[in-house]
Amino acid sequence: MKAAKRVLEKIRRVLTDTPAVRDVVQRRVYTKHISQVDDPIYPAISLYVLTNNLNNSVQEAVQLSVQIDLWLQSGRKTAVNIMDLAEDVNKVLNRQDLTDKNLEIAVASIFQLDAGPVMTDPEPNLLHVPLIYRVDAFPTTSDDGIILQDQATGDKIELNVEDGQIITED
Amino acid sequence: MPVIGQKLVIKNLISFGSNFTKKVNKTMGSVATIVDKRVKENLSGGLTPSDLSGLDHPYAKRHGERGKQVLTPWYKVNKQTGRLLNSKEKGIIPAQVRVGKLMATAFVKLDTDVAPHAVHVVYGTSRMIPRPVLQGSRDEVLPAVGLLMKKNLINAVLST
Repeated sequence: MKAAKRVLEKIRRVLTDTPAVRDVVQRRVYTKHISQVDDPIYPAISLYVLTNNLNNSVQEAVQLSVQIDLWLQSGRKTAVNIMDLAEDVNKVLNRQDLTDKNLEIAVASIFQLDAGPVMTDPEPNLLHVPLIYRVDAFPTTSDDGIILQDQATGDKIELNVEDGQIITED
Repeated sequence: MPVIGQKLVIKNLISFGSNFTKKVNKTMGSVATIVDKRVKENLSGGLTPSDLSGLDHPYAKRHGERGKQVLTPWYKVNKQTGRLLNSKEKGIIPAQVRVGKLMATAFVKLDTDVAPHAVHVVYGTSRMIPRPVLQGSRDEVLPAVGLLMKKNLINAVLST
């Protein structure tokens, strides 16, 4: 699984493990844009990678711009409800340690860059709020190491990581 | 603690208040122009609805999350009525001290009073992927903007 997909999967897991978020969308956090989901069920959250740039200093490290879209049925929910959900999402993502040994991904930082307005989507009658996050992440090896590569010489150095922090250098 | 380089610091302080901020504002005006030009290009895709039909509807769901990529960059928007392009504005927020930092801003924005659909194009809808045309355009010109700022401002503090 590529680093970007691992990051989306980790965000999905964090959101679905958050009671305040799960109370609203249950487990419907899609790891692709909602327009690409066959017969999506609302309310829901969808994740979409806007940009995916390689970091030059850490092998396979990525800098992502991720759009997290919140979708609620406008007949049942109000703008206040969707802003409450946006706040819950922001709280949990800004506080989370998103390093995941099972997914072999370490997120060095995640923060909100932008938030769009509350929009109405006439078909099928939805409220929509987009939240844009920047994520810096790198894949970890199975023993929680990361590999740095000297761009000039091509030499590789393996570093050990625990909870997203570099702890020793081999 | 001994203080060294007082003359340089004083010279910087003097130039900071006048020439420096003028140069910053002028440079930010140039930055806004560079970004604006790129945004204009990225809002001027030339495919008509009949072109899109002939290309097997490249933005249809079956072509995946980025569509069929018939335009570069992928977030480029096709010009239809020109309303989106007409909603574009550029400008600067002049240099001023805010929260203890000297800050100046260059911006390009889309006015939703002129083009209410701009938010749906940029952020997407339940039927359409987002087209981050402002963010993407800014990222495209960042290297050029960096060079421009370095060239214009590297000696600004010391100039008289």
